[in-house]
Amino acid sequence: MSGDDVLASTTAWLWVAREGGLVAAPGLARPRQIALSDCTDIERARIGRLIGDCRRLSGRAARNTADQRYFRIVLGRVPDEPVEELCIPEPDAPDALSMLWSDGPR
Amino acid sequence: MHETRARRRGIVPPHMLERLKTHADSGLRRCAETTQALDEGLLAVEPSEAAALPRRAAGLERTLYDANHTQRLPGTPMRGEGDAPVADREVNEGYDDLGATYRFYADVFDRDSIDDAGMPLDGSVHYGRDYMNAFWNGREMVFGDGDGRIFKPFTRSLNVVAHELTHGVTGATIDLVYEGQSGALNESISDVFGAMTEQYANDETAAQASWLIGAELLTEAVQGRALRDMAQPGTAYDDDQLGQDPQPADMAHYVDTRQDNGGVHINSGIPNRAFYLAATALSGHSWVVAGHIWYAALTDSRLARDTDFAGFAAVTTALAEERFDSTTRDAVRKAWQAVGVDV
Repeated sequence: MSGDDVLASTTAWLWVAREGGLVAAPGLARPRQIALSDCTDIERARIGRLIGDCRRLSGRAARNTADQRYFRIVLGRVPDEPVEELCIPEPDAPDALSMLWSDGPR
Repeated sequence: MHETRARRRGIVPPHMLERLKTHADSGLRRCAETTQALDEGLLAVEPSEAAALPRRAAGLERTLYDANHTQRLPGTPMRGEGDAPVADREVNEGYDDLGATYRFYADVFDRDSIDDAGMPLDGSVHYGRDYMNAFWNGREMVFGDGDGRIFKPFTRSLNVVAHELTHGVTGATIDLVYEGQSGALNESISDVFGAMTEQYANDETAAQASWLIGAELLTEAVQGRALRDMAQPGTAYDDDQLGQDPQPADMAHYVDTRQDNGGVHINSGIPNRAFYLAATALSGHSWVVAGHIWYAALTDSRLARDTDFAGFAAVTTALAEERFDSTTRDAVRKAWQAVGVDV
């Protein structure tokens, strides 16, 4: 099943945390989980565009870098069944992703 | 056999080195200790190489930049090599700590900067806003100011600055894959050489050292001692904001996770403790014996980029005997076994 199928599902969810970094303390990851069923059509469309952007940016840390933070996004169709995982290095992250992580529901 | 070689190789007589080791000047003590280790044939170097040791910081070239609270690098040049201190504490701290780290590698391992060819050391401070991190981006070291509530500026800690520079050294040598066990080794090597840099600067023995990483970074509001505790992984902090230190102290508590690039900053507690146990068992200054074994491993052809803990343990144990003796080998093997790594 593709990530697009997941986003089309009425039970889809998105989880995002900021991980890595020199400190890597569990309290700093501050994971957010968003049920797309709680979102308006406009919000779902925005999240769909953001996920598209993140798919283009996704990748592990570049070689010979270390301690750089990154956002880890997990998409699922139903609870506890992840379908897709994306990792976005913090310096490359779209502002919308940073805001979703900083302001999204816990 | 070592004593025979020492008499043949040594320039300074052993009794004079013994006296220097008790000298009031800490720099002389360190030089004497390192020189004695070299003379005793403990390092497998040729006489021509030994004659060149220790090399001073002739290739040191630092530039500190101000990122001006943006994420654009490197930022505005603030202080170059040989310049007088400027009116910016973080710039001066970064400048001094990069210098201390360069001198540690040059004096102890005869290494000329990150690439052993005099690579200029660039560092940027005031990165981002309330930025609670420091990192190596493949070209330079970058330091945030912290948020002031949990973290102070990341240049406060010498072993953190040395940690970041060491990522450059690892990239230029063994280039460990930054994921899973090889990534945890990459992180551990940065903690090990960060801790040794601080111990060297303070002239501390393994028994005297705190073995804390980033102790200067936490504000008084945090319930914790440091970012990591190499002697007692998992006990550095237990705080409402940070959570509980997740580092395991042995393989029985290894954390299998997708977080943090497969737990690179989590499971590094295991090889960190192995180094602490080896260094304290071997006594004296950590860089003289244990440090040389770990440094030799960085350029050992038996290790691949994706080596695991067991592979690294096997090579450091072998190096302990090849470079030193069977007693040293047994101490290193015992340290790895104590953290649950079979060797």
